Amino acid sequence: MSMSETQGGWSMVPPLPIDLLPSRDARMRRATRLTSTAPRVVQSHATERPEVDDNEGDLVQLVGPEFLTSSLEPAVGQMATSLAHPQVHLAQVADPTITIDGSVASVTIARWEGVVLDLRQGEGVMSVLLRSKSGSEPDHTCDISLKVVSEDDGDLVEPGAVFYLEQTRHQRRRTISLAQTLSFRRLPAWSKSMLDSVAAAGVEIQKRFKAPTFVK
Amino acid sequence: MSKFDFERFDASIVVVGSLNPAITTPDWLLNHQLISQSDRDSAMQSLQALVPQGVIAFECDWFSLNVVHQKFTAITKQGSTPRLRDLIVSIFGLLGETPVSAIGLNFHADCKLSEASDYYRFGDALAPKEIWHRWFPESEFAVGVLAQTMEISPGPRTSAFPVEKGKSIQQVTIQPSPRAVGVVSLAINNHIDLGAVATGRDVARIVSEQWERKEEESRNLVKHLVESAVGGVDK
Repeated sequence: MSMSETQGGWSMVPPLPIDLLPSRDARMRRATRLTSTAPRVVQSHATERPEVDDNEGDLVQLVGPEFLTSSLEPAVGQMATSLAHPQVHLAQVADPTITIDGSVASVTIARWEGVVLDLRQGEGVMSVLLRSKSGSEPDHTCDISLKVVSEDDGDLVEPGAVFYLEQTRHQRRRTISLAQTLSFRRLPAWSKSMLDSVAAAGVEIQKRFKAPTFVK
Repeated sequence: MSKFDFERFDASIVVVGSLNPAITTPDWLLNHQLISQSDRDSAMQSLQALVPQGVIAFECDWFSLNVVHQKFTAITKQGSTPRLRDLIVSIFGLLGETPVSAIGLNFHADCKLSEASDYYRFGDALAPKEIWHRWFPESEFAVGVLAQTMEISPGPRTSAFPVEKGKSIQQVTIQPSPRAVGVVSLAINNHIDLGAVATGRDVARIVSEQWERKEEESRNLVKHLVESAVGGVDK
């Protein structure tokens, strides 16, 4: 098993060596060059649109989707990997690739795992136990308005349900936004075979814990 | 104050095995209550399915999924989240009999270094330039790092060759970020070789048991590497 097979799934275009920051003129030339030589991904509806952010004097961004391929190896599914090799042909990338919006960078800065303790529909709140997963805060309980629960998650809200409350920072160019996301944990619906499997396991356990028979 | 800041920290999970891409459609995920209706709707808009070729790819707000040939890849789009773990545990719990051979629990960080001098320091710590400048004089040439991959396997290095690799190996690839100058990208591949007889149930168990720990370790590794490199090399 080759290890690189489980790498994934971001492709990266090394624009400039680490430890060599170019002059602004050089960056502008490079941006122009990328625009003129940018290859296309076969069988993908996406095309890359490298551009220079006019508001960012010192920033060259490749706006638009990045190409996600099977590994970080430069030869696969990438645009030009260096100025010395401006044309890397992607014709061999015969599979559709996932694309993501490479212009937005996100990082989760705080996370709590919560459990619904009580649901008070009349008051429109749920009492929850929150456990910090990103710090050393002690567990605490609080009430959360049901208004912040997504309509899609509405039928998951019940005592015992587990949810994640995450605070995420998104950065698009120089604009930073903070978002809080509350999402309920989704597990597969019980199928008949799963129920049968649990029932069989229950019978087996019951046999093992059968009360001993005492003989006089 | 830290000399760097995370700009991005995303996660991906890769599973290698004998997969059937035709199964893992947005509708299948919705039918098993693994994604919401709105996730399913946005996934359908981006769906690229070439079933005869064994390919399916789609994305919704928070993750992308790609099953191609014998490889399953799911990636977060808005930062690493345990929802990805739950998704994979659930999918492979349902596909319990699927033969699999390896898992990758991967994390990708973009770190913005606060000063240009830190950026230089980081590259110099990764790849000292002395031997290069003996051939390419510093007054005439600039030498820089485009990419570097390190492989870490458990156990001390021995004189044996070829090196015997364990079943759990890490690769850390460091490159300049394509997003912006002064940002470095670190991709951490936690590779777990499952051998020849593993199934989807093993994937569900291993991801459930290890993902959270690997996420924390990877985040701490990035911090350690950047802070050590930037703070540990005098220029």
